[in-house]
Amino acid sequence: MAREETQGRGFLSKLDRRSFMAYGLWAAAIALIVEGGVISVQAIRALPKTAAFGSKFEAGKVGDFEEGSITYFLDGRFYISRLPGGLLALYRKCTHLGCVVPWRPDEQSEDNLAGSGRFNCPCHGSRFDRYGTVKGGPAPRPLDIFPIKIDGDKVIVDTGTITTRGSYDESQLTKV
Amino acid sequence: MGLREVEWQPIDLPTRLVALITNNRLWRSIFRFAYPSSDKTRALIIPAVFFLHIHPLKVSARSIRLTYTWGLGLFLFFLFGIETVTGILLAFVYVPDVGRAYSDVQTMSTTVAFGALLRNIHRWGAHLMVLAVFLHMMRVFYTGAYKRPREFNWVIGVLLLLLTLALSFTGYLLPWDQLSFWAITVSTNLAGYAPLIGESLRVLILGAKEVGQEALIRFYVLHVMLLPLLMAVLIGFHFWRIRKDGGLAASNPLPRGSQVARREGAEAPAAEEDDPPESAEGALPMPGAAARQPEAPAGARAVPAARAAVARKQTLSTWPNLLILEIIAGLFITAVLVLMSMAVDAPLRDLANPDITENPAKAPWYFVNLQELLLHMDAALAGVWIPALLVLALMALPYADRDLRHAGEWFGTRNGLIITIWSAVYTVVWTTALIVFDEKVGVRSIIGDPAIMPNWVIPVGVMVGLSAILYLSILPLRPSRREVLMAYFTAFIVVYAQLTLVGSFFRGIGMHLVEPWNLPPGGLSF
Repeated sequence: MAREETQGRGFLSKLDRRSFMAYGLWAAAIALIVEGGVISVQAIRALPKTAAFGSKFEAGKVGDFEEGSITYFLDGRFYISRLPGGLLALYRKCTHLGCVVPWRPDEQSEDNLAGSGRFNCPCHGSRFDRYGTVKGGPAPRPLDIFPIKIDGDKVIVDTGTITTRGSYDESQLTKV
Repeated sequence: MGLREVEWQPIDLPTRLVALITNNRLWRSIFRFAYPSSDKTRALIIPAVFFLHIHPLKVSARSIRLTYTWGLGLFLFFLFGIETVTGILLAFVYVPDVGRAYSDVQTMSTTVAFGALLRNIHRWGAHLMVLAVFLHMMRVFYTGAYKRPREFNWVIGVLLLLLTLALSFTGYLLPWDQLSFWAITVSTNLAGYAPLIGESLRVLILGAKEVGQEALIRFYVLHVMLLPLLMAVLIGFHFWRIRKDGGLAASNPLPRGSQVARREGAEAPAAEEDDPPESAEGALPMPGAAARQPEAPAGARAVPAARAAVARKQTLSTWPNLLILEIIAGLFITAVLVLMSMAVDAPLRDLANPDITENPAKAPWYFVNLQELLLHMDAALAGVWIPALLVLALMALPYADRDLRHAGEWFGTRNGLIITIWSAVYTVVWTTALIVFDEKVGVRSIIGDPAIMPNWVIPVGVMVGLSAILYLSILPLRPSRREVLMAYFTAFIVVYAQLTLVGSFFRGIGMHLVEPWNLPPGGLSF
């Protein structure tokens, strides 16, 4: 107890050269491990794509799309949905577990834009309408969308930016 | 070392030939000791030879009985070796490039000499390994071999289970066919449901937003380098701990509690019961290795304890008793695997097509159980929370059981066996009922709104409720802590197996229930 009283004046007073070096060694070892971890994770991060899916994608002209139509772009992995008032680029990947959601033009429609046509996921039976919103099955949210830019009359879809949404609203439309 | 240097006295021709080969400087520089022919040299050679020195000099006779271990740990060790050898051979042909991978696998199966056999062995060996890991875990659990001081080795074992799954999973993508492509797509999307980090974790695993070339090379590097290295290190650690913990649990010395019995004048058990286990000789004493334990009523146990003490004392020299068993285990599992691989070809479906989803799209069979769960509740609950909590519970399991009695004994007591069987029956009945109910009636069609009810509240409620009823139902048997654990571990194993079977054999197009003989082509995910 006596020793503690004479020397117990905090951490710094006990920090002689030996223990300073010892702490330094530990700090260096921990720093090395942390740096190694950070470098490793950074080195294996996904790189941005420069071509094909993941880049900007030209999807034809504004006039190509009839109201209520769904147009599939295989290479871009999205559907252009022409809704009243604008365009929506729907990512074809099911929001449940990532299966490709095919457009079924002959099935019962889930919206009031046309009599038939909806998206049916083959994996767990989720259904989506032309707005991409969930009409049945286990999918937790509407189909994801890509931002669209209109360049002159060309429709440019940025497949590098995937936007998730909780529900449909008109601000998601690209007005034409 | 006291080992006799080689000194041959050639007499007849065979001996003369042996002498010609062995009685020279080169041979003796490699093999420094003669083939051991006495008990003494059989013991001495173990620590003197690099490839043997992981063994103890002697092993308890109880611990190497077939009906105690079923050889499962050895099978796993040899399967890892077989996977390594066949994997290296496959790697000479296979290039992890989306343009080539599939045709390389085809080349392997059609053109390369023994290529199809090697691929089959590698594939079925991987599946067998997953199966054997689970059986091994069950063996260790039901024999109570996880008890102190072996708790941490159990944790290492759980890590090895995860590594085995990861190795199998990363290998699954490499053939680049429809089966592998969509299985990996579905499974990695499950990881995407992890809170906060999910999506970035998924992108980190895949190296891109969807399965593609980046994912293929990542999975390849993990599969052939990082994971096998980790596995080898952990296997070494696992073995080392077995030695340091005094061999298998069946070789435990009698707990010191029986000393209490002697002091209190009960019938004296065998004299030297407190000696450290033979197999731990030369080892540092591990904390808890000779731990005291609160003992059961002394007199009642004294006589069986004495008999057990004698049984536990009986040891055999490792050379040849254990070594011969190891060789038999290695030969047996190799033979089984080769025969199986000659009989059944590993699947190879059409080339992976990111534009067309297989229907049904199933995860690899050991994850099909999660996919099956997913049909009945929220994806984050089924794909992230339940598996994560299960792994944590598995790791924590040995720390929940402080009772050292009956370590190394199948089911411990008769009570334990009854509880295990009861829990299995209970779980099978309920799981079947719930699956059929959700298919024919459907929770969502009764209480679909708000979505949180069928997704979270009802599934969690049902699981917690059924677990509670299971606990209450075994209470009249006055279960010990270990027996409660047995009830729940059994429930886990049974649910896991049953969901795997249902997901694999009873789920067809759109993941609806079908009879196994009506499965669509490609409905199996092996």
